[in-house]
Amino acid sequence: MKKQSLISFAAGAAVCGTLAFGLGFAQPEKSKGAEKRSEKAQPAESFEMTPEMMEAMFAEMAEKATPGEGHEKLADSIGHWHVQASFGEGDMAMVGTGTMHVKWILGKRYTHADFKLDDFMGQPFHGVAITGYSNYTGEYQSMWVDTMSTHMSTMTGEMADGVLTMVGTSMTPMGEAPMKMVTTKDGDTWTDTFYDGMPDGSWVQSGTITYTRAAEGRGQRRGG
Amino acid sequence: MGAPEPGTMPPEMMEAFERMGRTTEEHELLKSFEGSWTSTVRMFCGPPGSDAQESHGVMVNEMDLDGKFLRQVYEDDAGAFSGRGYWGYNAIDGRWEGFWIDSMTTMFNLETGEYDAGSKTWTMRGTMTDPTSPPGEPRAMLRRSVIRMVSDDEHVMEMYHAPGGKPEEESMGMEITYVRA
Repeated sequence: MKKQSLISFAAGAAVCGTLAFGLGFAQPEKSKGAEKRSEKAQPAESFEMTPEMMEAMFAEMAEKATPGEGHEKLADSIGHWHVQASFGEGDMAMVGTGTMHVKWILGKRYTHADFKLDDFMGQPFHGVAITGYSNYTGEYQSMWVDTMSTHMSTMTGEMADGVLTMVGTSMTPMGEAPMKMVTTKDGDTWTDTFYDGMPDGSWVQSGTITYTRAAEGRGQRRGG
Repeated sequence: MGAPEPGTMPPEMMEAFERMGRTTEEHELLKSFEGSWTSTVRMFCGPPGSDAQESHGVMVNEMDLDGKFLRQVYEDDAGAFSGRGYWGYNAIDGRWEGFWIDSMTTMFNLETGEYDAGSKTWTMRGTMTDPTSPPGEPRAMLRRSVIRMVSDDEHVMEMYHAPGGKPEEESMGMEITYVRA
C-alpha cells in the first residue's frame, strides 16, 4: 500500500473511530474496529499501523473530543438575558429589545443561544447562535442563523483577557461582507460590538447588542 | 429603546432586506425531510473488504426560523451519541449550506453544495480537521456528503473523506439510511 494510501486509511479510520466512540462500537483502549482490522482484513504488508499506534491515535482523538478549558470560558454566557440591539443610525437605524436564553448542548461542547427581539424593522426577530471551541485548531467557532436571512453565518476567533474576538462573514443587503464581533463582559452585563470590514481592510463599527442578565437567570450561569 | 417606524428606511433598502429573507422553492424541498426518521448507520472503518459496522438511531427534523432552515436533532439508540444540525438554502448566493456538530468531536462541520433535481440528490462539500493531525498542526481534510431522496419515506446519506485534500483519494466512511418513523 502506498504511503499516501496508508495516511488516508489512518485518517479515515480515525474519523470512523470518532464516530464509533459515539455509536457504541469502540473504546479508546481497544476498538472493535481495530479488532476487525487486525483479525481478518489486515495482512501485514497492507497496513503498517501497530495496535500501539492505533491506541495512541484513539487516545489523542478522545482527548480532542473532550470539552476543556476553552469550553469552560463560555460558561458565563449560560442563562437568561435581556437584550438591547442597535444597528446603523439615522434613517438606517435598526433597534430592538428582547430576550436571549443560552444553554449547553452536546455535553457542554457548545452553547446554544435562542435570541428573540419583539420588534425589529417591524417584525418579530428570531436567531440561533451555536458557539464552541475547537480543540483541534484552538479557535472559538460560532454559527448564526435567523429569520431575516437565508444565509448561514460563521465566525472563528480567539479569547484574550476575557474578550472574545470573532471574525467571519455576514449577509447584508449589499451582499456577503466581512464582519467582526467583539464580546466584552462586565459582571452581569455583556456587550457584542459589531464591525463591518471595509475594502481597505479597516473596520467600521456597525452596531451593538447589550445583554443584561435576567433575574430568573441569576445563579444559573455555571450550571448549564 | 423603541422599534423604528416602518418606512423610515429607504424603500429600496427595505426591499433589499426583504429579498435577504425570502424563501424559495428550495426551501419547500427541505420540508420533505421534516419528521422523525429511524436510521441505519453503516460505517466502513477498515480497508476494502472489511465488514461495515452497523448501528441505529433517530433523527428528528423540523423547519425552523420561519421556514428558512431545517433543524436536525440526532440521538443514537445506545444513548451515547448525539448530533445537531442546520441545513438551509442560501437564496442570495444560490447554494445549499449545511452545519453539523456532535458529541464526539469539538469541531464544526460546514458544507456547501448543490441539488440535482433529476436524481433528487444533494452533493455537499466541505472541510474538516483531520483527527490524526499532529498536535498544534491541524490539517484540513475534504469531506463530501451525498444525500439521495429515495422516496417520500426514505433517504440515504453517504459520506466520503479525503485526507490530504485530494478528492481522487477519497473513500466512503459512512452510509446512513433514514426511513420515516
